[in-house]
Amino acid sequence: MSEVSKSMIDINSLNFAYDNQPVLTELNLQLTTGQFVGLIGPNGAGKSTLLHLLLGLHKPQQGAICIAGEPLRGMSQKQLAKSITLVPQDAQINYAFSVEDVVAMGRNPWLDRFQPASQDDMAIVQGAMEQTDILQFAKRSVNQLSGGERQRVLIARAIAQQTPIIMLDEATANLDISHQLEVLQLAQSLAHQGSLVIAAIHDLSLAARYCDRLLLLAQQQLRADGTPDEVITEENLARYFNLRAEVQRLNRPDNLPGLLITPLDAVKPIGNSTIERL
Amino acid sequence: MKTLAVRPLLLVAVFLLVAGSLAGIIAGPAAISVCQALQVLLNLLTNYRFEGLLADTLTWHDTIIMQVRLPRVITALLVGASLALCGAVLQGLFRNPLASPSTLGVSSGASLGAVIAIFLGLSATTVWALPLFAFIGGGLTLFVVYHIATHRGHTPIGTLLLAGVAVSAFNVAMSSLVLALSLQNWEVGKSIVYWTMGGLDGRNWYHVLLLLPVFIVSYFAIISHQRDLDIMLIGEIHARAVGVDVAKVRWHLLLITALLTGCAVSVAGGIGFIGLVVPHITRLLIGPHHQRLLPMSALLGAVILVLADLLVRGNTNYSVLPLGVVTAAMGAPFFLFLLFKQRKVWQV
Repeated sequence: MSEVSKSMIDINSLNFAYDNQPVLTELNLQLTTGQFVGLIGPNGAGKSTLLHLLLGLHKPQQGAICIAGEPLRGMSQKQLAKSITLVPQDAQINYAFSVEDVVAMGRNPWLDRFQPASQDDMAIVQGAMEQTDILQFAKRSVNQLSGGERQRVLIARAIAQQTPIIMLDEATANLDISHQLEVLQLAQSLAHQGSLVIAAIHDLSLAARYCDRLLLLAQQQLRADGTPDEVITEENLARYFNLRAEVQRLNRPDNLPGLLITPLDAVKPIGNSTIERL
Repeated sequence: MKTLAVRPLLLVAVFLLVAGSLAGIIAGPAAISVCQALQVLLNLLTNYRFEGLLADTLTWHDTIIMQVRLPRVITALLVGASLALCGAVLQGLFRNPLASPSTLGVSSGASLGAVIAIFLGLSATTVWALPLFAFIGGGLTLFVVYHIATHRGHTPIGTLLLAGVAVSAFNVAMSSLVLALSLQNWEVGKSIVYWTMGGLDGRNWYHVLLLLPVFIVSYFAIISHQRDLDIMLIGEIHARAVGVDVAKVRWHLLLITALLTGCAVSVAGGIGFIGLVVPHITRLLIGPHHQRLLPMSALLGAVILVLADLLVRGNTNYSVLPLGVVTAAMGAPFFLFLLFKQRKVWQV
């Protein structure tokens, strides 16, 4: 991490609403390379929406987004896909593409319309499959894979795309615990090799264990931003997750970061939303 | 599902294409032998007459083959290829094997457009009026059906098909209305009835010249999106993430599909289910890669329609069996079979 980290994502006073229903208001955010950033927040806080905005899936009503120093507004989808990519929430794939076919789709932004993938491209695809440990079923059809295997295929696709920014949208939601760890470890190592990895994560303990920085998105805004210790506090859990919980910092001998979160019970919503409703 | 190697299927398809086309040229009330047919074709290709080789190659053979049977066969090839190609595109675009020009109402919309063009007397003024109106009718239908079924960028296939059924019913009703209105004028009414029956009787070089350029342009426009179509099968967000401008690609392809279906329908009337059955079977045979799926669907669509046309001509000396009836008889049970298979996947 000796290189100077570059600003990769710049969001300035972003406003976004679905059909007049505000999701994000006046959001500001700067993210740099070489970080594994976890995006946490209660359901419906707009985590996916934020990731989708960064991919240009929605147009913000106000505010500017810059990706790798360039305004998103003027970029074509293909240009954008050279800088940023997203591994979507797990979805069934019903078509008999081979694992290799799907991973090779990551080369699409780098190829012209009629240009087939070159040997260099295929070498990159091989490398991505090696990194995600899916080489052994490269020729298998994706519709025969388990959820965990399929998720790794889609991450390999993102790696093959060679973008400086990789976003994961609940990429671990449907995986068992060991596969969750595998995916998060992979994400962490990608970040520490110099990428910016942003992951929307539901599991707070896992987020605390692997992420360098956490962003807490709730009630249309970024409510906390910092290290897991700073963000996952009993107060924040109560205020934004409606959860009464005990948070203990683990002082492990191997110095691995970790928080022990013991949920006690769900509490009535407090804060702005209740007040507004009254 | 294990897929076949492409090469053997290609060989079989090309063989059937050639055999079917030749049979289409030979079959008919006027007896023409294989040799005579080949002779005429050879003359056509070389533009040189071997009159000395076969003395009985009379000019009426030339006329029947060149003016009646050859354009009919080529029209069948083009219409079959067009409809199957459009079906392959729509199934890829909507990620569902139940999508096709007929199930989404594009065909009935194109028919309505064509009927209106005849009713207004425009088809008598220029040959392009019929395909243009068919394109507008098909395009408008596709636009309406797509927008009814799409909410926040999601297009559930159940809603899409229901919208297709509803708009189709409207199109058919409007076509009947136009027909009823036109019956006051016998000539117009007759030509509408004649056109509505569809089929390939009396199709000539004008029809070929009308459809061929549209087919070629559409084909290349479609295959320029073949990788986009592959990528979109994995999912819309995935496609955006790897740089496919999904909205633009969808818009392009829907426009091209409406254009090509419109032209095919304006030439041959409503020929259902080719666009549904052929691409689906092709996908089962050779897999979902559009680089292979698109040309193979077009090829097999051409083969099937030429063979269906042979069936129509071979079996009915006295009564007229419409071509659309043959393809629907093959396709409707298949559609039900697909629905049956999909019951588990979605509830409408």
